[in-house]
Amino acid sequence: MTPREALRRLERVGEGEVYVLESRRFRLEHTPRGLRGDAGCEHGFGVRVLARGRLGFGYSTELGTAVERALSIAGCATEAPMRFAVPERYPEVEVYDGEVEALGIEQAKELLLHAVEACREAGGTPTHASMSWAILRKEVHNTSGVEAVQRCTEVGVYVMSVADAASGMHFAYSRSLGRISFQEVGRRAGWLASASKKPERAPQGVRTAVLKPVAVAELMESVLLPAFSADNVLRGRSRLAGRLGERVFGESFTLYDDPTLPFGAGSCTHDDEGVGAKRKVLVERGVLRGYLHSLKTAARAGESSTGNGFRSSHAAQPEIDATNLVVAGKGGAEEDGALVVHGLIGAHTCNPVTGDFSVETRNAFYDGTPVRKAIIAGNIYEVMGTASFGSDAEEVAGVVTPSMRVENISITG
Amino acid sequence: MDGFQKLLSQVRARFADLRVHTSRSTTLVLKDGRAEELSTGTYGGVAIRVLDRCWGFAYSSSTGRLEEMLEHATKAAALGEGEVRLAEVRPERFEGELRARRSPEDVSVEERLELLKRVHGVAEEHGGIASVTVSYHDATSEFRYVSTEGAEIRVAYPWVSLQVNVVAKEGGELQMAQERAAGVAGLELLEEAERLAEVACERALRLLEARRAPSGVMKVVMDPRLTGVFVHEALGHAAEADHVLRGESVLEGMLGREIAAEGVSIYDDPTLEGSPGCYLYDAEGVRAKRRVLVERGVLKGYLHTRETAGAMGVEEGGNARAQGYTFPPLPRMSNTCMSPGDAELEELLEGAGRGVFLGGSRGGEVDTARGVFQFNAEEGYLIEGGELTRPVRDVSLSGETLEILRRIELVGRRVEMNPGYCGKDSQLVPVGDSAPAVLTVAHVGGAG
Repeated sequence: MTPREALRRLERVGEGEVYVLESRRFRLEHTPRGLRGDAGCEHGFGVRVLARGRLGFGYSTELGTAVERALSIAGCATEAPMRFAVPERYPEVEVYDGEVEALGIEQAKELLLHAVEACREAGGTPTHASMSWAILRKEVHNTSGVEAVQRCTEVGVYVMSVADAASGMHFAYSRSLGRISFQEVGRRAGWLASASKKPERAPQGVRTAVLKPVAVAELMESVLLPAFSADNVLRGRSRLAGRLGERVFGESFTLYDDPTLPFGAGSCTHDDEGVGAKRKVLVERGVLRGYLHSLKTAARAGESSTGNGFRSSHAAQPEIDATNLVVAGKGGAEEDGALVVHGLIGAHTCNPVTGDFSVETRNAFYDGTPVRKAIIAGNIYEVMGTASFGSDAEEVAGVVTPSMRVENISITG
Repeated sequence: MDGFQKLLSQVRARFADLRVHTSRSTTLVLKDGRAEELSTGTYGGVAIRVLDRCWGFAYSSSTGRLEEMLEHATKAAALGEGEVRLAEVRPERFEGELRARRSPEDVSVEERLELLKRVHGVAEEHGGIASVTVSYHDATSEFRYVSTEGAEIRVAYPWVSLQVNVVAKEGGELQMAQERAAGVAGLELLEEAERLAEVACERALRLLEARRAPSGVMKVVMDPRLTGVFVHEALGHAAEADHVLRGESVLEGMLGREIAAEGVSIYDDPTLEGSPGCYLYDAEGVRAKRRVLVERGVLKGYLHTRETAGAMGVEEGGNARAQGYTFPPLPRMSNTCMSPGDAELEELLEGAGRGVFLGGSRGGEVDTARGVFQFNAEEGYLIEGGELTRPVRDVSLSGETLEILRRIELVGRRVEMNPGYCGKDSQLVPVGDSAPAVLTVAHVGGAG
């Protein structure tokens, strides 16, 4: 069955949409015990049918099965406003790098070994390093005439290292091979471990902290991003609900969702529902300007989708997610007198509804001296009221952010 | 000889194995009573592993590309200068199934939705609850394993899970709580699903009244769920032999040594029927068995794949798990269990005198190399004069694995099994944590 035939079948009961995901993924892993090379390919279909306002989703590696499955379950759904995407002109965004597709396993081994070597030179003992790359082809076809095809590439590298009883980890992701510095990832992982040797007790109490880009990205993604999801907003699960146009954060904080960044880890020409990619202002100098929508939440709110419906696989329904979150801030991130935190342990356990966070730190320093352990705790809406930002912006797996200086953080070490 | 065995017969390398995972599943989500996210489908594929100079691994969602996969895996296996030795195991031949007492496939989607609606109804009856999500998932899966050593295994097993997530609201204040039931079982596991909604709502409403927790190093009584997460994060991950071999574990070189208080015994047990981490054979075709990690405070063993067992010269294995066909197996936990002691809750509180009682959890994370872990507690109470007083909310605990295990002073008598998902190297697998309440000392990171 072709997508066109599938749509003709779905048209008999209402509207339909076919999503096709074809991927070729590669991974190379290095440990002190040797290498392991992985290669994989997947080809699957996700089908949505909308029959009398009822939405059903079916998936399979066989398109015919996915269609039958979607039809079998749609009748049980609650009626809801929903329309599939309509054809539009997509922006040109750089998401495919031929170098990634041409990458051979021998060349990849060399690149990964560069990272491992750089880690050693920086004083760390590499314990685990891996590199992955993928070539993806995504298609969205629907009964409104959308025929969207996107070919994109992904590449990532990760290095973990130890030095005495200290550890260090760093990573980088992009859609382009040329934008990743394997040496820098290895060097940073090695340096973090080696600089964290001979730690001392952390300062205690309510203090100032500077979160470096990786830590800011972890905090933003786990505790702030869910509040911008229109699904949470419409269901009263977000503290940002009903506050458009209000000053919710400090004036030095501006936030965008920008899928158009050249080769950004979250860049795309359109989302997984066939809605064109566009840059959105979410927060402008502290004022709440927008939420992230998929087709479903947009229909419910009587608005247009912002192009943020993404699927984790062909077998998953679209969910709201950011593309590249870009933090544009000002005010400086002076490290004097602050606990400097490079990463977090347990950011995923923060409370996305209240904004409360309480997490252990990874590679924290005070006055240049490494700190044994320190939990930092606070509420994101309170600390973001006075946060200020450095000018050292870095791209951290779909978040572009500089360091952030926050006052009144509770530190227990 | 079928296609898979034929393929393996072409292998020239010293070892190869092949896994086939297939499943049919249904996911139903009720958001504020509306069934707008219903899905059903089939999922599956094949994974091939080849061991030559090092490991090569390939997977595909289609069985039509087996030759190409084998070529990829063989090429990758010639890349490195590994020193892999596999622990010897007896190649198993087995065909069977873990049966659901009440299979979801025998129950219509409408009827399954009715169950979700009943759970939603219970939550809705609570005043002050602003939003309710009930998510349900079931699957019937088949796992097949074939190796060049002659193993031939085929196991079918069920899965069902239900989660309730509620948000309570008062003025501009929001609070969230969730409860989950999950296991290798059928709908019989969800017979008391309404109770999950009850518990979640009560907790979310209590949290509206709770204040921020104190911070500092203090005596902590953890409820069974929190102890379960703690044992999983603090000890379980550090006991995974791949971490140990890479020099990333504080438990390296500690076998036979006292690493915890005498009252602490911890084991991993995939054989518990109906549990979330249950399996009959692991992802390398090794028969599942209960493995003792800590016995009366002494470290007795690690969690092994055949490779890590071979590297340490022990004839073990049986802890290899993989998230479906797209990943190679790793040493993983199944159900991590801490044995009960004999203390009543009152004794734990009395023993604490002054401190915090903490419970519930959204999970945790560990840096195995440093032995520093963090885990979250959803709620609790201050303990003053050996009694529970003021309610506190959302806080995290952290500690150093070896220190906190040694400082467990009392172990409760009632154990409770809780389901969860465990992440490692981008792979998520379902696990169970079974533990009693304990009294220990930890860093509590409140914002108050």
